[in-house]
Amino acid sequence: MSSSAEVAKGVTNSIQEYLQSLPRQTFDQLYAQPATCLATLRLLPPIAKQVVMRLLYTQKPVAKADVEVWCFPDHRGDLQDSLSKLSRLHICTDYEEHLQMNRIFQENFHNALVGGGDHVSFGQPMNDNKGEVDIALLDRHAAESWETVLHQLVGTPGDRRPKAVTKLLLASGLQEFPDDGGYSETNEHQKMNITSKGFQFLLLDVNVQVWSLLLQYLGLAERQLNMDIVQVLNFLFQIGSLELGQAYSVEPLTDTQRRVMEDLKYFGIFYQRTKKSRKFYPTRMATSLTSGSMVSSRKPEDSQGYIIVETNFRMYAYTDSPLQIAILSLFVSLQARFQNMVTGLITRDAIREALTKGITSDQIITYLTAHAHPELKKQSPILPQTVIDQIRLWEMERNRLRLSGAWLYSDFTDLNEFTQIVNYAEPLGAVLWKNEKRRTLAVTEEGHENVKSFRKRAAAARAGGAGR
Amino acid sequence: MSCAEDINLLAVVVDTNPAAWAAAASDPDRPLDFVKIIEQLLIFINAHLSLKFDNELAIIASHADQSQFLYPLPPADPLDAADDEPSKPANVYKQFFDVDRAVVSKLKELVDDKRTKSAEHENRSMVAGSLALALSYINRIKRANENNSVQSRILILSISPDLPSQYIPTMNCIFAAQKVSTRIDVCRFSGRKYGGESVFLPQASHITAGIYLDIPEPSNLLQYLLYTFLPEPSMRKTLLLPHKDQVDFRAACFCHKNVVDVGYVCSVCLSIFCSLSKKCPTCQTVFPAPK
Amino acid sequence: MATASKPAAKVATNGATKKAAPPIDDEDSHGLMGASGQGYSWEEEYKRSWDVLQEDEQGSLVGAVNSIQMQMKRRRLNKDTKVVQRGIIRHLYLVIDLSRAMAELDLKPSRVECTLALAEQFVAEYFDQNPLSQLGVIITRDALAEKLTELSGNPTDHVDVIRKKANREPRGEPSLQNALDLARTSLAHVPAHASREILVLYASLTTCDPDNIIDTIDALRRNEIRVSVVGLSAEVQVCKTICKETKGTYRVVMNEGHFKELLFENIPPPPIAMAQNMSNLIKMGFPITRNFDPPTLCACHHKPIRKGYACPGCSSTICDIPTDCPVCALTLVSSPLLARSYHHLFPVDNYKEVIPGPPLPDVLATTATPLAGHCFACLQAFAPKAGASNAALVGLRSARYECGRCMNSFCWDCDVYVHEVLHSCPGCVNR
Repeated sequence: MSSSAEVAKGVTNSIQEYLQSLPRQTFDQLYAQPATCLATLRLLPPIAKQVVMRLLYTQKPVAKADVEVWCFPDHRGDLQDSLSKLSRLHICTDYEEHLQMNRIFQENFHNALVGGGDHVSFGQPMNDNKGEVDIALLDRHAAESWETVLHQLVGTPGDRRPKAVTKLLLASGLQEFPDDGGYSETNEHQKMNITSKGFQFLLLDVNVQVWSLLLQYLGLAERQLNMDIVQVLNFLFQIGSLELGQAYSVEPLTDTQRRVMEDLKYFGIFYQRTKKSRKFYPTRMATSLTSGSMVSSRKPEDSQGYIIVETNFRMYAYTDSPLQIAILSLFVSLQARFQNMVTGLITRDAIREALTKGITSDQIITYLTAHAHPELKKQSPILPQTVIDQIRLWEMERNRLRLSGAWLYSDFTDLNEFTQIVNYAEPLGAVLWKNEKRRTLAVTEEGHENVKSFRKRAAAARAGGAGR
Repeated sequence: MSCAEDINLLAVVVDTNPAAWAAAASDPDRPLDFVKIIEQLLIFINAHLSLKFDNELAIIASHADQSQFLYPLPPADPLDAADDEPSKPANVYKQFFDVDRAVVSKLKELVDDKRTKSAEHENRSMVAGSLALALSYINRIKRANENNSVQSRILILSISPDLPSQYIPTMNCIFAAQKVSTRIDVCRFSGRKYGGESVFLPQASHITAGIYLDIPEPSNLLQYLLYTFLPEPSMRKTLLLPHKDQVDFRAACFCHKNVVDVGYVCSVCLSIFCSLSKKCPTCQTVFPAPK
Repeated sequence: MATASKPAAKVATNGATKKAAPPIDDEDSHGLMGASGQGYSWEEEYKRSWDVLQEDEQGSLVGAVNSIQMQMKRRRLNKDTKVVQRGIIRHLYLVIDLSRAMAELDLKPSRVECTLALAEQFVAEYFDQNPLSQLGVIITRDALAEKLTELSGNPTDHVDVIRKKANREPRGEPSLQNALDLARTSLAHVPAHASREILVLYASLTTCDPDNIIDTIDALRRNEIRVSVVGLSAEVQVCKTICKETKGTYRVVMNEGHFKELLFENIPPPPIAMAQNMSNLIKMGFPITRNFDPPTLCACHHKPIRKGYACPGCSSTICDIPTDCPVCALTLVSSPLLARSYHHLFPVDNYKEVIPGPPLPDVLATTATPLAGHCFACLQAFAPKAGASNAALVGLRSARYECGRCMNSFCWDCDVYVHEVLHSCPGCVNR
């Protein structure tokens, strides 16, 4: 559980970081939409949320000292962090020791709470008379589309290769053209290779995968597609507030937002019955975008874990999905494939191969834990301790050699000089290696200057002493 | 901060006793407008829902002769299945819209209900019954989310006087809440013609480590709610919140349901009486004659 | 060779039977067999527990497992709900045998570990349910009895001594008589309106006594002390006699789960059996809390306190309750302390299971009162009764239980919750 909590936190942080990089004017435009205000609030740490709520119906600026006493003394630090976060997101501005809430945010968040104001930021629902689209269909659509994206990433041959997906995978550095790639006549058909970043990406939680791609998309939209970033962001935050299984009208969307929807359809975030349809349906991926928590943990049963790992390093995976098998084959040496399961062995070679691709042992362990079979999840720890330890040891094995720049000192005149310099250098932490018999000494790059000058001084003193 | 990932369940118990609200509306000093109070409560509830995507909610009306869920609605309630369901306007968040609609329509139903107009249950409010429903609901949510930890709390908006006949069920509910570490927060209105001092509710918040607050200025209810009752239980370690110092641990006697500070207790069954008697009416023990 | 190996093989099977039996027994003997099927683990036949599970038509076990779970829950619930006299102010000595016999490993991880772990739980639960009662702990080993704690109302004291390492090492012979006498003399001064009890956890089959234990039994009877024994190995005649004479209970455990069950049976206050009980009305005060700034000296310990209670009789300042007022000698309690015991006195009636009949003909269906579609308390919808395909599963979800007084329907989870935790019927309270 805690690992998924950390993952969620990671997502929240990366969104916040992105937002903080935006200029102030953008924020004012963003906060004009109540849905955005709501979504931003949910990204905040718990204390900041309470501060916002308390300031929401306060018209006058509040003295900072007054805010400080809201907290117990030993939590003042957390409060300060929250306040600085608020001011970086331009929800609150502080001047002259006073805290003033952004008027635009204040007004529109109030509108969100009471359902007032003249805006369509929570989506215009439409009646779905035919009732053909149900939640199961949406889930299936989302899962299939996302799987297609991942398949494209691992390079499974397939025919559906939307340009938007290709572009995004490339831009995010998950895929790259092969180095020798001399031919570039048709970009679409060119085989692209997965990068080590891409391998790491595969092992992430779906929510994190979606968000990291979306953040890349934002960057792409701004730089290459010439979209208005405010409209894109507002749209992303809006879809987080939509209801699963409900049809929404395309009408209120701006042209930019329609383009975004077109692009994101390929990732399974939306569903449209036909391309020209006036309605769109958000999928579970969309509605859980801004939930800030792992919706996957409360998903229906079909997303249950399927991996069993035994203490003898055998792995059984109850899956027939080529994608999951492909991912597993990254770090497990697969032995047999049956109709509904594959078996394999977690071997040193397989793990080392994964490690050389830039995948870390933590990622492997997290992946195995996150997708553990319900039976396995009853145990504590979920994975056998031996397996966890061994995977970590295999990783540490690769780190036996560490390269560091050094200066070699040799040809000391006598043992005395050698020990003198060693005694000087050792407290500095500058000695990497020494050999008393051969009177050689390796010194770190950082320590070199000090040791050099000390040696000079010592040599001068010795020469002076000898001369006298 | 793993507690930030918990599911937060807020159960609100609203005292809807018509007699008390009628008295409160005509209070000379601090008139209370039921509709305005409910409006502010709804904003508070929306604020609770807006804090996190998966925050859970239950609202229960504690009426004069019954307790009723205002939200969530019972399954297959006609309101839910109604064909003429008004479609959600584009400027309202779906979750807020559902809650507001359910609460308002259910409250209307309650107020219009003819049965409650009879004089026999004038000034009563089924707080214990509502607490029992809230706890059962909390228990269900906790069971349904065994893998995630659920933080639950109960907020009582109270205006009616204590109902001594509900002493035992109220205490039972308090202990049940304490067992699952569910805090009971109490928000109490009192004016010259309504409210008055409650004995049971401060005990409820004291035993369960909740907050008891007398609302001095009902027109600012929303600010009180947002300041004091919005922080989820995990925040209570961080934020300084008001707490009531003096708690009345007096009990109601079993014979006349009077609140006593010195009473006689049957050694067999611990029933409390306000005067000496020969035989315990609860457990039929015959006491030796006082010397 | 063949003849020689035969007895050995037999021994092995016996051993296996004994070892294999407890876990199976633990899980289902109570649930499936009911009281009639109970036996000691070493007497049990090798039971094929999997035979009880029947696959349904889809080959699923879910239904079968659920219905077994439900049976177990129901069994626990059908308690006696009669209103009886119970001695709620109790004084109890917990006597723990720490003789060599405790070192046996037939309970997991060992008799002593299992016993002391359960004793800790017992202490906590005892004070939770009997807030006005007191408890003391006595151990017996090396033919001596040692009082670890005096009677007191503070659970942490008792748990601390139980956890102390020196008090966890079994050795020597136990002395039942010494332990009982020590407890008896300690209980002698207890006021007459309170019940006096001794609960012995006894593992040994022998006792090493200085005198005739029959005299002790007489003395116990004279002092109206009730002795209950939970035996860990086999039934012992002398224990049986003591319990019979003092109107206590004597039970012998079969396995860990059963041990806990037997021990915890001693937590609800026992019905008052003795005719000459000295029940009385006790005058008690219910003080209110006070905060003092600057701190005031309390009347009981003369220590400065910031938070305390004021005696309603004489207004003197007390630092903690329950206690007797040092000035006017009024017994001071808080109403929550008393209220904790009320559910023993006013138990909720058992709910009746409602079995929905076959759908009524249309004419009747309109006139008959419709069954509620959801649980009254938690709004859980009752599943409509489907075909017989997975009847057990549907039976579980659609099972409804009705309160005989308010006629509301509850789901089975709420039934359990109401009777085990809430102790008030949500339907009845709302009337």
